Amino acid sequence: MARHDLPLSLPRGRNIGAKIVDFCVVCAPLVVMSLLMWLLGDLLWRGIGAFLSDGSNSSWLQASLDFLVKVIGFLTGAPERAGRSGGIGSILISTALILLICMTVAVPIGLGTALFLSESGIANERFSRRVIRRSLETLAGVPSIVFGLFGNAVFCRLLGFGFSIVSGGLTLACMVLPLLIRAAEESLRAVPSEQRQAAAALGLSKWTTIGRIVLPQAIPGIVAGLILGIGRALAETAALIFTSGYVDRMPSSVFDSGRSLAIHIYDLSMNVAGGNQNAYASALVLIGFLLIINCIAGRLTVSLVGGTENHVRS
Amino acid sequence: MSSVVTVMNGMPVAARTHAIRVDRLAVHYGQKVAIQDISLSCASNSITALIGPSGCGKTTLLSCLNRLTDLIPDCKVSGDVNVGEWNLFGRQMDLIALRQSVGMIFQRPNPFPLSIRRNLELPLKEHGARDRQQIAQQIERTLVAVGLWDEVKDRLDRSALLLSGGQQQRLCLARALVLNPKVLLLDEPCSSLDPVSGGIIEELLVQLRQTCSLLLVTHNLPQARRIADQTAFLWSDANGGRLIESGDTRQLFESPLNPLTAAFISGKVG
Repeated sequence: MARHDLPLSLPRGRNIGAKIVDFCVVCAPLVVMSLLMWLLGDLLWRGIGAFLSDGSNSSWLQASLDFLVKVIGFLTGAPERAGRSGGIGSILISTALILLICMTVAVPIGLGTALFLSESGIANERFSRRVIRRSLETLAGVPSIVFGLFGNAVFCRLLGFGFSIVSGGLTLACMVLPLLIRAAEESLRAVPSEQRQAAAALGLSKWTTIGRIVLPQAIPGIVAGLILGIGRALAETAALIFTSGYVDRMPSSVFDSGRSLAIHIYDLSMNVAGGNQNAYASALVLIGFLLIINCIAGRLTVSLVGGTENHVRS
Repeated sequence: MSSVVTVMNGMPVAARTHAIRVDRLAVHYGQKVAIQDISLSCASNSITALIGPSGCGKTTLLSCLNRLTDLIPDCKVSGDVNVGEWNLFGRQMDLIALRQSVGMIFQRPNPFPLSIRRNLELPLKEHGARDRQQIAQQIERTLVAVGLWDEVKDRLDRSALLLSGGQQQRLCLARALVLNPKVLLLDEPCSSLDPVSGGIIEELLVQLRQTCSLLLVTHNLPQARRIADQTAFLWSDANGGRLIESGDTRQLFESPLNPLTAAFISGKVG
């Protein structure tokens, strides 16, 4: 808005320059938006076919009922003929188990580290905090295929879990840890220090202060980080290929190999001739999940920002 | 220390409060000297005002008295501070007990982002109160004492952040008083409030003299003159904040001994 006030006093030449910049600034987000729309449209176009009936002249109600039955069948059915037909029931279960293990391991470790980084104010811990921060930054920059190789070496072989859901979940946990810690630490730091002072002045112990006052205020931000972490883990293939494996059966325990949704898509489109239709349908499901997750994370981030404004006011 | 039982707003209170004695206190933040060589004593059941320009170490002095200085990295304290029978920087000081007996009110109201009730319940429960009815009674008594009860009794479970600034500050006062402190440290408690809310707080402080010793940092000289029994004047130079003069409020304002004090209270310096 302020931009439109400026050109009044600018010489003509600059004015044209400003217009070009304006044009570019408007175009850039348009390009981004159209890319997203193209991708979603393409997925929908190719993926939706798996759920449509074969074009016989049925009523509108009948058609939508058929559609629903097919969607549910796809989400719950077992893959057949290497995934060319059938559903993704076992894949979804494996994915959910991998995520569950990933988060049960990553959340306590991540939260603990974040608390250490933000809440322990003792001077001689500064060095260790710097070391931790630096290693987290490095960890965040490691390509996921390297995590995959590491997970294969450590969890599959050294710890003897083999190609299994446990190995995959643990590998993903290593990968999302930096993300979780960063989000948790930032939302802990956003809690005003006056609150900690007030608590200390009342003789509240450190753990009461953290548990009753600091953490509740940081929860929305932590959950938003968690959800972003889930999103990242959900979309991961490279780290899982060497750890949770390819097997598309329904896993009987977490020590079974299980195929995640992203790997299923990769396998169908790269290794299985005639698997494209189901690959697109699975991708549609994956994108659907990711969109839902991003929406929830967005909501929570907004409520976090609203919360901090509330404190700044006083 | 007196042991007379007084009655405040209908509640009997054992009016035994702690006297404060500060002896050759010095505080360093890293290499920087914040205050040095401060010796000061405050009688029990009295209000002592700390006046002086910004940055002369009034708040630092205040936060030595409940050892909130512990929260500041690189902060070194030397000298003796006695509150009642406690030697604050001695080896066996129980911080939790100290902070239960020495309450503090900050410049900006800082209620916890919890309900009004939870704000008062939390310190009570932390210090061992278990009986629900007693807790409820204590909360009511304290809110009555700070004049907030009638305003909030119907919305005790609403967020404390919905209160006005003046109400929030009175809630903070209640939150400190709910633990029956013997000493109350106040860091410019009225400066972020409108004059009416500030006046209400000021009246409360005068009443609180019956149950506490109060140490009040203020930039409002007329306020110090109105309510303080004693006043201490701090001034800072290159070597950190020092105590220039302290004594009976009337004497300090009407016939200051030090020319710097005279210049400060007449508004010529600071």
